[in-house]
Amino acid sequence: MKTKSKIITIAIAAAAFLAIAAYSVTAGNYAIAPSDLWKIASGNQTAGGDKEAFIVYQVRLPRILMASLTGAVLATGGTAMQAVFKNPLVSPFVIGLSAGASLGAAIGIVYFNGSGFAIEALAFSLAVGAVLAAYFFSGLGSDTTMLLLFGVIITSSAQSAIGLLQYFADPEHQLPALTFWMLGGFDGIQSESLKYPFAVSIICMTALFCLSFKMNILTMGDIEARTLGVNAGRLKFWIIVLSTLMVSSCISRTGIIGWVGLTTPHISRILLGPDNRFVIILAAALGASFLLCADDIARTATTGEIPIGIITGVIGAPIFAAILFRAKRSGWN
Amino acid sequence: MDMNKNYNGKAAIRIENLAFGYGKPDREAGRRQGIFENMSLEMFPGQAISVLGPNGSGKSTLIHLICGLLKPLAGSVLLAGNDIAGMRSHDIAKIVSFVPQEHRTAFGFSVREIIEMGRAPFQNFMGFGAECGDGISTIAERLEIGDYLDLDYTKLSGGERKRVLLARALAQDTPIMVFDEPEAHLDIRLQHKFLRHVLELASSENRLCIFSAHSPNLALRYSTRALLLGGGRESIIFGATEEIVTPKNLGRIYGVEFETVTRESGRKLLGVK
Repeated sequence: MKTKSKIITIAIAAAAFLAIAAYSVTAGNYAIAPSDLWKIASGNQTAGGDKEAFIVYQVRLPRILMASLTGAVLATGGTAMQAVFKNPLVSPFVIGLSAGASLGAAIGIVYFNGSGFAIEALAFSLAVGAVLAAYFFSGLGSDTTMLLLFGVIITSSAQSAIGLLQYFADPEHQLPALTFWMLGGFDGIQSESLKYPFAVSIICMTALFCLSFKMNILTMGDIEARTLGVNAGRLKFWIIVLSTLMVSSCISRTGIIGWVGLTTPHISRILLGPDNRFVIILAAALGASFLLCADDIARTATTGEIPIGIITGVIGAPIFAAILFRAKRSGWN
Repeated sequence: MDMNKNYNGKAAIRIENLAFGYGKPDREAGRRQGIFENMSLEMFPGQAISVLGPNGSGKSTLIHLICGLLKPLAGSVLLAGNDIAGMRSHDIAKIVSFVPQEHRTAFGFSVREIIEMGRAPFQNFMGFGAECGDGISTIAERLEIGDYLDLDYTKLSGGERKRVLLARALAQDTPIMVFDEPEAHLDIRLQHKFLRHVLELASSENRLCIFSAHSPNLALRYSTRALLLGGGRESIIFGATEEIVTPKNLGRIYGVEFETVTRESGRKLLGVK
């Protein structure tokens, strides 16, 4: 595929994302006419008065921004971790991140009265801690099979601890809170909640994009990468650190959201081929669009709120099955 | 691909008192089980050097040490006078290229993209600048993979992949080229073609080419110097191929008796008795 057509594909995906974002602002229990969007954006009065502006700026935009950011972060992290593992079946959660985050949230819910700050801080710290533990136990990730297996060990240990906390949790309030947290969701996102995830994620995503060419070389294997001038050990360390920091910063706020990080890099490779310099950008656009659509369904399909993890699973699993059937026939691209 | 490139000096390798071993330290000796001990030798531009030895004698280990992929237990490998232990992968890759025995990847890069990766050490961090450009077709034609440039590398046969990896090393265009068992995965015609190519890279382009091999006859035919490993960890046999690859020496390192057969063409062949 020529560079020009790759760029066109990425531009189309970006335009589609913007269209979905614009639609998302209008959709919801309080519908806003598309024609009013421009008026609100330019600060003019609409028929709905201040109420509409309030809904757009205080309720919908923060949520749309967070859903887009989380989608882009999960997709970018997935692409990067797949390069580390030289394996297209890997998600950013693979070495203990999601289990560590869930354990942190469980401790926050059960022992810290469900304080938002405690949940977020503990989820973030334990997510990062779980990944670092797997990384150091495995001997700095020099053998990715070891890294994967230590990830499995960390994940199941954390899950046992979560099980214990669930057993002791108060079934009236704590248990449902924990269950909902582990299914993820963007309800209650306010503009103040965006600050840290945005700062961390933008820096990490930019850095990962700058490493994307080296990721191509890394997929050749550590030894060959080194003879082609790429310090494989150091590159893997930075990819794992950057991916973990940004994914943890988002999901410690939103809860666990599966499937985005696994499916979107695949779809990007099917569309563009394996060159990570392009894949990582397209995956970010697709991940943002995917999670935004899922969140629109979560908040508009019923009068209440459907946990987003359920929706990404319902959409993601069949998509992934389709990718696998295709891979059986013609490989991973 | 500049035939008149002056690789003198740059392509010299000096190995000084090199020691390497695997596994736990030997309790009595207080050090690791050695494969090499006190190995010292020099290699120069224009030489094609074959490395022979039985399984486990350290052929691949030596090759990895020369590429800076392993750290010696003692001693040093000097590339153009610099200790490789203190060099960054990025700088080593400008001097030494490596063609592995076999290679698989899950990601379907095109043959062109794989060959282009050979330019990585000379490019910026995003892979721009110093591209091969049209040079890629020339290299690919020479290796009979000109028609494969846009194909998916993962769909090729072992022998085709091997030639793509050689093409990548040619694109890397380094004064020192190292090959791990170049004969593996190739049919007889391609084995000879591949190794003739290696010999030419040394003799007419003045590079230093080092390859490990199982066949003494390929070593005899396509290397100017030979290094025999496996005759005891403190003794290596190194010198002009004709003088080194003899029934006596081979018998000593492999532990089977060899004999020389002279073919009608006058060429000598070595075989197991």
